[in-house]
Amino acid sequence: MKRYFSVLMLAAGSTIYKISGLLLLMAALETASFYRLLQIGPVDQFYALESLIDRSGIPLICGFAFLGLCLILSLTGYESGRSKISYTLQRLSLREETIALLWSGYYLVCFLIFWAVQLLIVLCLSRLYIAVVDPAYLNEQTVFLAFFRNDFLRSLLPLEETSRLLRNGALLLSLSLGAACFPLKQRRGKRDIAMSFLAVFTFWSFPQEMGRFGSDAWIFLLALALAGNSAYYILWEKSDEKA
Amino acid sequence: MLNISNLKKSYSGKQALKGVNLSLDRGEIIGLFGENGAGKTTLMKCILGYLRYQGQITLDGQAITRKNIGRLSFATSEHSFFPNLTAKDHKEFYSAHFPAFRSKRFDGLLEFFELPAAKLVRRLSTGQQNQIEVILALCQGADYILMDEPFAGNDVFNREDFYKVLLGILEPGETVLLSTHLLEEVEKFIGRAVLLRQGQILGDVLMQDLEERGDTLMSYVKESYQYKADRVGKALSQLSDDR
Repeated sequence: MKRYFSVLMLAAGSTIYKISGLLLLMAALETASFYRLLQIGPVDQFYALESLIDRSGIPLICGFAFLGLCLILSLTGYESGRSKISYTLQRLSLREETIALLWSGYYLVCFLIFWAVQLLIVLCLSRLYIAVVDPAYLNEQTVFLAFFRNDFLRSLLPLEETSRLLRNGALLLSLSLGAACFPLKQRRGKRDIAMSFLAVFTFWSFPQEMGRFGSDAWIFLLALALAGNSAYYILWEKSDEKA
Repeated sequence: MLNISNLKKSYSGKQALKGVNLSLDRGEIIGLFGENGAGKTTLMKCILGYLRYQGQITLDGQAITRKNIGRLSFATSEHSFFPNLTAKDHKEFYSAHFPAFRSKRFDGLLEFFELPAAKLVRRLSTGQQNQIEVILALCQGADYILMDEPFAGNDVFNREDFYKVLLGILEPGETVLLSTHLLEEVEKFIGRAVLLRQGQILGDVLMQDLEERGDTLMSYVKESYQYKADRVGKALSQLSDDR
């Protein structure tokens, strides 16, 4: 058990501060941008919560922070010129493949934390909105309707939209396995563009209109296929040079 | 005993090792010498299972697998530590993975070389990183310690200190295979010299035998390599004539 924990700590130790910094930066930028616009005052639709979320650039800030997170996680276990860590990893009693799987589990938790923090930020900003805005513009369903009308918010918290939930779940799985597979391939002298593709694709396709079942379905299938490809490489493909 | 029998290794058609036979007994300190490209690093990587090879390598009659790989440690000028961990983190990590890890020796060596325990290894100087690399290999609790040019970048006093410390701390069962170009520096430290040339064993001699013959390691190497001492003089005079 100690061996598994130490391997997890290896990944956590080299990412936890970077991720914390990234989340803080994201929260600060989103809050500052939202608050600045909130101070400007009502201009037609501009004052609606869902409109404010978009105009303050929160989806874009979140998207870039997400790309940053993918980069931080993918570079864990990546061999730089400083050291060939695979020489040590290959001498452990745990298989390198097991280590990659453990790290993918840790990455899944990191992505979930990222999602939870983003959700917390928008919920806090929604509270701020309710506290600041003239009650004449509000009703009991203001926040619910914002999540219903805004593509980004609805994709962040799909509520009863099962296809979107499944799509998000498949993307999470695929991203976690992809981030673990990327450095493993690099250590074995192979190139991997799947993770870069997946990160950019998620960034681009995340906010979507409601009821886009077909789109959700094909993203779900694509994400599952990429997750399967990464899992296959981690579990069964051997290094060309390894004895 | 570490036994290497008819070891062959090719890199895209070019033979790097051409049927190497070598036995390393417990408690020996062996110098591995040869010009660049002789196959020293390849030999070590084959022993550690980092490369595919033809032939047989056994440790006490058993093939080297994940079960007994912990009996081998490796220090390399390429480095195999985790750059984002501190020396203290490495101690914890190695303790979790190598049950025979020598904590007391690790602390002692860290103190002797005045290495900071709480600083990230990537922030240390190249010389200090080499020291960490060698200390980890010496403290893993391995029976066979393989070192590939471990002191590249360290000053002569530092290297001298290391040789003395090594002689002082090694226990009778610990074997060191040291690959280096610094023949004269290690002459007093090793008990046996193995010469490699173009992927073949060119010479294998006990230092005691050399001493009894009144020979030095340098002269033995030159003789084995059929080094022509007058080669430089001839070339220079030829160049002068051309002017």
